[in-house]
Amino acid sequence: MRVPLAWLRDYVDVDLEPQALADELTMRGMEVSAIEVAGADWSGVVVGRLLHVERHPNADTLWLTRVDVGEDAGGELEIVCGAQNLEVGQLVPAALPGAVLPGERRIERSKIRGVVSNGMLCSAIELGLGPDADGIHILGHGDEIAPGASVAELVGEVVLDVDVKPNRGDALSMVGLAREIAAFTGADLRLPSAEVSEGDTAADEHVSVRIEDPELNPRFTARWFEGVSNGPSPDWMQRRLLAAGMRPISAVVDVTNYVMHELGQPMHAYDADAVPEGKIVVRRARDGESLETIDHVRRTLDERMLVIADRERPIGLAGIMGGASTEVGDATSRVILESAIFHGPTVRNTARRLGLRSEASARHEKGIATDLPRFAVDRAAKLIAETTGARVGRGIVDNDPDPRPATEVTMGVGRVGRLLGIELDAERVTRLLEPLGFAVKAGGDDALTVTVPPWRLDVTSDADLAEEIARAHGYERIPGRLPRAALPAYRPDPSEPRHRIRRILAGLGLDEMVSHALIGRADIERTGYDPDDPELVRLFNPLSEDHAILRSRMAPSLLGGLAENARWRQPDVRLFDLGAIYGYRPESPTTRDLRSETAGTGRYESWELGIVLAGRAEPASPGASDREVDVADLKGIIDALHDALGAPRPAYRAEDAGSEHAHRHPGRTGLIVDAAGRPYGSLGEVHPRVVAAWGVGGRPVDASLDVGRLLSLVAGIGARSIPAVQPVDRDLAVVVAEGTPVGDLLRVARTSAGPQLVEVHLFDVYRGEQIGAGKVSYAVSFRFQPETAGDTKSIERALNKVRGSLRHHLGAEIR
Amino acid sequence: MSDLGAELEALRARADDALRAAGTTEEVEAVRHALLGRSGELTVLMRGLGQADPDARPALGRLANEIRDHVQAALSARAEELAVGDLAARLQDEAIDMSAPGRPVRIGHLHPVQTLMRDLREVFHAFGFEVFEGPEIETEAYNFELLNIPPDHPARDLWDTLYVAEPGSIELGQPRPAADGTILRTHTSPVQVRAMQALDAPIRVITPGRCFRYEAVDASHASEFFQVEGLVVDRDTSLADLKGMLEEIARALYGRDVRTRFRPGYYPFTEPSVAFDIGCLVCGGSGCPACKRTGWMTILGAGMVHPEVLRNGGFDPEEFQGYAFGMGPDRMTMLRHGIGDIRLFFSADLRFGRQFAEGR
Repeated sequence: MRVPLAWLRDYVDVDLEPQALADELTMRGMEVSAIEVAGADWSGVVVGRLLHVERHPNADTLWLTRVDVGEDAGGELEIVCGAQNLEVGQLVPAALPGAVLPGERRIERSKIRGVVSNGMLCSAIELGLGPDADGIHILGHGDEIAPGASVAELVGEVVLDVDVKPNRGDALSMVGLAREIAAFTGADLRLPSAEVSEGDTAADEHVSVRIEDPELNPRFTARWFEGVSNGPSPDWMQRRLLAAGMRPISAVVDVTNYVMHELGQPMHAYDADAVPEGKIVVRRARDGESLETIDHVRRTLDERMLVIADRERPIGLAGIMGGASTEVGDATSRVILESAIFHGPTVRNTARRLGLRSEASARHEKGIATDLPRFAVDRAAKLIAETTGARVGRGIVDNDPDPRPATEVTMGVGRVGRLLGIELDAERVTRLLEPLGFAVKAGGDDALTVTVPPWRLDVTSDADLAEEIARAHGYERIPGRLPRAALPAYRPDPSEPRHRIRRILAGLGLDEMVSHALIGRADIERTGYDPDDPELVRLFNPLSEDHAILRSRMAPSLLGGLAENARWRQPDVRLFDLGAIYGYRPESPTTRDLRSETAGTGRYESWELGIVLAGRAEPASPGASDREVDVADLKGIIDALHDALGAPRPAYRAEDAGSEHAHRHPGRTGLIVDAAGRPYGSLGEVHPRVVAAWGVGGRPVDASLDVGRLLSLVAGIGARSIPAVQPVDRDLAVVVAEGTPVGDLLRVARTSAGPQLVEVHLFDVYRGEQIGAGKVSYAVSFRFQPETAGDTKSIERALNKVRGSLRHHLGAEIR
Repeated sequence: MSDLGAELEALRARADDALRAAGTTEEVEAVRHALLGRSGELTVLMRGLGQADPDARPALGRLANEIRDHVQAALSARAEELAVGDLAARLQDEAIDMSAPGRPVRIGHLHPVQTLMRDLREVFHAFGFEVFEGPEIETEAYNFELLNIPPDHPARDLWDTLYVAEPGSIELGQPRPAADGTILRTHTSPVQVRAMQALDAPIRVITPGRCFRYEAVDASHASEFFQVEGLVVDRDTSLADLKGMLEEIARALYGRDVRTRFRPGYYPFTEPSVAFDIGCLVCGGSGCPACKRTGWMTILGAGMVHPEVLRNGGFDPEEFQGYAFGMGPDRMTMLRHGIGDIRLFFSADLRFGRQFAEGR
């Protein structure tokens, strides 16, 4: 809410500077989110005193002036000016070089007809202060203002932008805020006058109101006016409305808006002659009924909406906007003024469905005190009479004139003190609450009975009173206490192992990306998958088609990351993303270790690690290879990740690139499997069609791993003693038929070599005449660690077992 | 002197000449071989000592040994002399251009928001907080009702929440929200209730995670973002404890000298509610566009857990009380690094990501 300080001061004396007042309000829960100087949309304009004025040597219509702009702003400056109202001694606004005027007009030092001008003297229109363009805006003549002072602070109106919390509808007005300020400064609150001098004609002879559903409209008050002369409202009212962000329209309409801002009561004025017999009905709209609102849009209504109607048709949307047919205009002479309370949720839902949120609907949503409509209708009647010369009809049409009993809340003093961490007693609570309008009386023992003022609809329990006490005591005076004992039992941090994976991968040279969990159909299609897959989790109300589906795999995110870098000619890319993937599998319990069962049946989310590599295998450098990354590089990274985590390295198994791996090269797709042969990830080269669809080029490779399963493989460290015996190295050349998976060869070698084996690795591959067509020779190196020095016999036995197993399982020939 | 003696003396002189002439270690080796090898001159002469006159034998033996020692020493000395020269020459040959660049080693970079969240976890670990995680696909009940946000509360608006569609309804062209009320969580606060339901008092947890909002995306708003929620439940944890904790957290994150402001706020699931500010990091509090001239930046919302929420978590509000707070790591990261556009966090652009070295 925009709060012009000058307006606020009508209701309470404020001695504080704007900044101090803003801090004070914020500390009381009325957050000032911005301090503006309305009508001062400029910078670099200071007060200058005219010291000397003479004709410009080269131009008859221009003047050359010398202006004192104060020491800080540059002392005496020569400024060329074209205005004809200059006199020595005047105080004028001087825009210095670097100043920015409304409309982004930048002032620079410049030469005008051969004479340097160090800035510009401003007219009212140039500063946006008014329509006057004829002369310089004269700020004064005497010593009342010192040269160099900021003109913005001199003439601008300070407006606080106050963010009133949703539970404090009572503070959504000048009087509401003034009441808060009065409570914490001890100043008096001055309510505006609502004394109406009524005419002889009884309002109820001209207005009647029938409420069909009192739940939706608990209070409806109305007044009736005749002899209205509806011109523009007075200047002072227009200025205030403008400062508060409202557009002036006509006296009657402006009064309703003025009182809404002043007291917080939304109001509406109807042209009484457009309401047959003055008969008003408050009812639900009928399905399909329509109404042209005063913004001249025809709106189709339904029965969830509340309308103000005449005997037949709707004439207004309750609490939101009036209808065009009863709009008050220049010719209006008789007026019905409505000041009512409508059901907040109904107003909110209607406004939302019609896209018609307004200042009025915002106030109805937050709730209006029962006694406010009647006071407000009188206040408005007084202002309408004053501004339009109208005669006010006698009496108020009111469906529920009897006052309500006040709400009472019981609180325990000790309990509230314990909650706030401050010392409290009954006397202190009373002293804190009474200025806010609460009445406190003892209720036995530790208990107090607190009577809530009628405007505080938000206070219904002792917790609410605790907050009031804290506000009144001052949050700044609550002692900050350092954490005390009573720690919970230790449990490991579930996110720490994931962070370990991140750090390891960064150490291996990969960059982390965090991509959107929500992706689009196009992303899925481009990656080669079915966007209509029933296992996808879709949104009912996506922000856009690009973010409508929760990703079920990492590939679209990874390829998106590649594509983004390709756009900026960044070809060497190694990225990983550790985040959730999501799915819907109502029937089959999935084999994944689910991170969590989510709400509803069959939906899951699971931590997944995606890796993608593209571009050169080695950074460009003299002697570096030009080779592009391949699947082996990717496996190297995955192996290293396992090593660093302390998990056994996985095996890689070829896999048909079926629908589960549609984004991969069919001959270069594999599964990442654990020692028991269970897959927990997949990897491979990206399919050339998918590469082309994403426009990335090259031959990128990608992998995806189930993070929960990966982490479950991490074993504890059981340290072994280090023998003081030299290791023994042996190499074998193993010739097998082309097509035999080398992974199988290494697995057989590893499993048959016995307990002394430390390491097996492949170090060469040979194809050629020496071994014959259709055969491959793999050179494999073994390192054994014997228990005792010189024990070569047991190692020869182990190698023989390896040879035998390779022959037996793979038909290998050993050389 | 016998012939043998003269031969030995002559040999000594020849050896000295040969060594003087030897210019490389290889030539020195050849001299060694010619004199001391299996059929070397000295070896042969010494073998002939047996046939010498027995009277002259001891003197000749001494002379032979003396000459052998002399030759050996001279060989070593000459070899050593030459090796030093060889090495010097080699080292000179091997000089490289020391101004040449190093062979590149790739390093990776962590995402700045993830790094900030790790830093937060470290700070909170130090205060005895544990990490407790909840699902991103939530129910309306946990996201709203159990947090004391009734169906008519503005936060429940369709416009703020992303609803999961009923399976199959979109494919059939009749989209409707899932019948089981699933949504994407709009905040991490539902994890408060889950933590209370799962744990016994005392509870001291933080609940980091991804959240989703139906929010038009611009430089300062994202539809996906992260939150870190904190929850403490105990018998006498008070607003004063909350204040002390938040002040300590601010000092840990922004330095011991940070100015803080603890003020009233509003959340349906806390009462009293708190907003927590730090002095503007851009202008230091004098007022600037970044803080809208207020001098303060809000980094955190908090409050005492509402009695209804305690009840929903299985705690009797007459016996237990506690506080909760929530913060936005994305915004905190923007403040930390002076990042002006929140959308960069969901970009894979390496020109952005590679700025964030571990040590910074």
